[in-house]
Amino acid sequence: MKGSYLKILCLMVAVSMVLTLAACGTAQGGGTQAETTQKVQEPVTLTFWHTWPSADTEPTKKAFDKALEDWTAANPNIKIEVDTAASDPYKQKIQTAVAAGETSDLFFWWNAAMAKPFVDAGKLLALDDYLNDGTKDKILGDALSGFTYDGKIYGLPFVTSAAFIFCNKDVFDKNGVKIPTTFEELLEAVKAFRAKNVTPFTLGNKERWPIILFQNTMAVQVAGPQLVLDAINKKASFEDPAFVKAAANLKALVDAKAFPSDALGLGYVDGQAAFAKGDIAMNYIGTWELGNLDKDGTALKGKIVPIKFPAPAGGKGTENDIWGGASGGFVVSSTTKYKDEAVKACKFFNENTDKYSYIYGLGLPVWKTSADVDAQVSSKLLIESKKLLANATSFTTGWDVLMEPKTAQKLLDLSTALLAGSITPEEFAKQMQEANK
Amino acid sequence: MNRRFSSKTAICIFVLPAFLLYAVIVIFPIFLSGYYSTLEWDGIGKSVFIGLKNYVDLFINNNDGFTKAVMNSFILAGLNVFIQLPIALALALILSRGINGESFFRIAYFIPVIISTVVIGELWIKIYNSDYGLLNTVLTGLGLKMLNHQWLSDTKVALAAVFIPVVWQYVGYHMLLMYAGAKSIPKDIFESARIDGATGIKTAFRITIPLIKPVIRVCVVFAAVGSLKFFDLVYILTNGGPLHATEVPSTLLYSTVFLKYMYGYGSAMAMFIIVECLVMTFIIQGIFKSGD
Repeated sequence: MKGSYLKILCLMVAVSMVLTLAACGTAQGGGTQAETTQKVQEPVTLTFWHTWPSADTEPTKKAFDKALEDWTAANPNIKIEVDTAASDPYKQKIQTAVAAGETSDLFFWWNAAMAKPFVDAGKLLALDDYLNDGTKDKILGDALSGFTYDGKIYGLPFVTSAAFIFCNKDVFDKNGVKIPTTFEELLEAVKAFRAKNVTPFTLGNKERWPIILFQNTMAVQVAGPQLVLDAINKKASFEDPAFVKAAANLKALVDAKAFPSDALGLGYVDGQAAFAKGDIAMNYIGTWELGNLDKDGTALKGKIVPIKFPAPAGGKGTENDIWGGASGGFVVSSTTKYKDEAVKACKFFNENTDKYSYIYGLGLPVWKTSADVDAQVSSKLLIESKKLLANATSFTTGWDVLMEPKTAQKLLDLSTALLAGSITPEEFAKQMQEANK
Repeated sequence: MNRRFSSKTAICIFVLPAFLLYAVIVIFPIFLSGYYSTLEWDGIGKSVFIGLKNYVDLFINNNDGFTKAVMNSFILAGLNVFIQLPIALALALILSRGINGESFFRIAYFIPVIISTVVIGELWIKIYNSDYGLLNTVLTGLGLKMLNHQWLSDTKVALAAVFIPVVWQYVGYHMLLMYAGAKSIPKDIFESARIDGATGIKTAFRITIPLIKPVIRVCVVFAAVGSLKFFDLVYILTNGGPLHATEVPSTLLYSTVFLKYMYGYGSAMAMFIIVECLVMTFIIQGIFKSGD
């Protein structure tokens, strides 16, 4: 009985193996027949990774999806396969893929020092040869410089952001506080709000970068944008008294309890959600949040007034030295099999995600827009914010993108320590300089 | 037939496929990590051989909190072995005596083990929220408002706040192992104990526990070694923050490799964790053997 069972089992295995071989054989035979009778116009599939998984938390997804719609209609033969992950897990996903040589054909990445490791390792495709068709003229200002390394261009930017303090006018009016125009007035406003038990600023600093909007802006306003760039590029020292004064200004805000008591452990998204509830006075954040700040049906609609971050007296910078800039865009992997199609997609998606982000009120355009596109922008808040930039004298992007990754992480830690009150401004400057040597 | 199957050649042949898989997926990458730990490398571009400098930076000139992270992992190991395991043992002993609703409780205690760690993390983040979280609301409701804390933002309480869900999650897992062990003890032993007049607690301490000692040993090894390399819940709850108060070696390793682009240094950390886990396993086996 046992012997015959074994024999039947072996027979079944043998039969299934033969059947599999036969199936493969037929498929191959059919394939070769089709190839010889048709002209090859194979559809190309490009893989595309970006960092906006859900339109609820990352409004940019809406703009990307609309650009994808336009692309699919215009290019039925070039399919785009999208994959996503958010924030830090996205950075890890891309790094692992780049190291393993399995990057997608196109992906979103930040510029300046964040793309430098990839450029140095030859993982990104240089786009210079493809940009002589007028693309360069369509991009405003020197936004391309972020993606330029050793004179070659490795990516195109879309959307530039600027940071503003978004004030909830209702909260200001209810508590009889006037909207500040100088840093000293801002401190007074913070103290007035705390006296009435209102949280002055929202801040979810678990990921550690939200606090550096404050630290970066305050440093630029005291030291001036040129000294800041020099220090980042190691030509000047972070122990310059201007940086110590800027850190002391941040300490003054922290001591006046400008930030929520759970800022250290609250996630960034939760911090924004707390502001959306409507009882916090101010939100210093970039224009990428405009989609959420102006959303229909929320407690904030129509109540938000954007202002530039008020500067302290006696600094080398003013409120017109804006935190922001084009900090990222879509890049092409150097190992892509379809260079022409991928670069075409790169140009298309950068330009159109830029356009739709502008139209949906998610950000400021960095590609030239025509008058009819301007007319489609329905977000009053975006138009008001854009007006505030009319007198901007400089744009400094977040230092975490401008600095080497190791130094950037130290900056995040030190700024968080300032927020927690566990180091003094002098120590902040000293450790910052040590990390930047 | 038996002799053929137990000859050394036959054994080698049957073990070979699984062993090859294990060698390629586990053993080989460990040696590769060992090699990477002697390099200064960002994981993507060129690398520079620097010998043991990474280890010197890790242990002697350490400036990124690795020592504190290792201390935290030892605290977690202590909590798991001396709090989580006794709770699991007590539950296992009670359930294995055959109470009402035995299978219901068995499932209920095991559910935290099978729920996705991300879900558990997000759940506890909401429980710990300072404004509307369940914990602070219940404390205030009970009139204990002064016990309200910023659970995940206050460096003084964050470590405790993070370790509680960690200890809670795997109680069911160890309970199930010990329950299975207790259930496999032959019923006659309990009967004769009862005839001799032994009470429940005496039976538990003098009979059940000694007989499931091998299972307990396995649980101690899993709990201790698992704590040394624990990652998931800490990453989700606090990512090592605030201000590195809840940093454990694996979260520090993650940020070193993926945020600071220091692959060689990160590999040195990884090697340390591997060696530390092996040493811990041997120590625990030794303790149990000498207790026999």
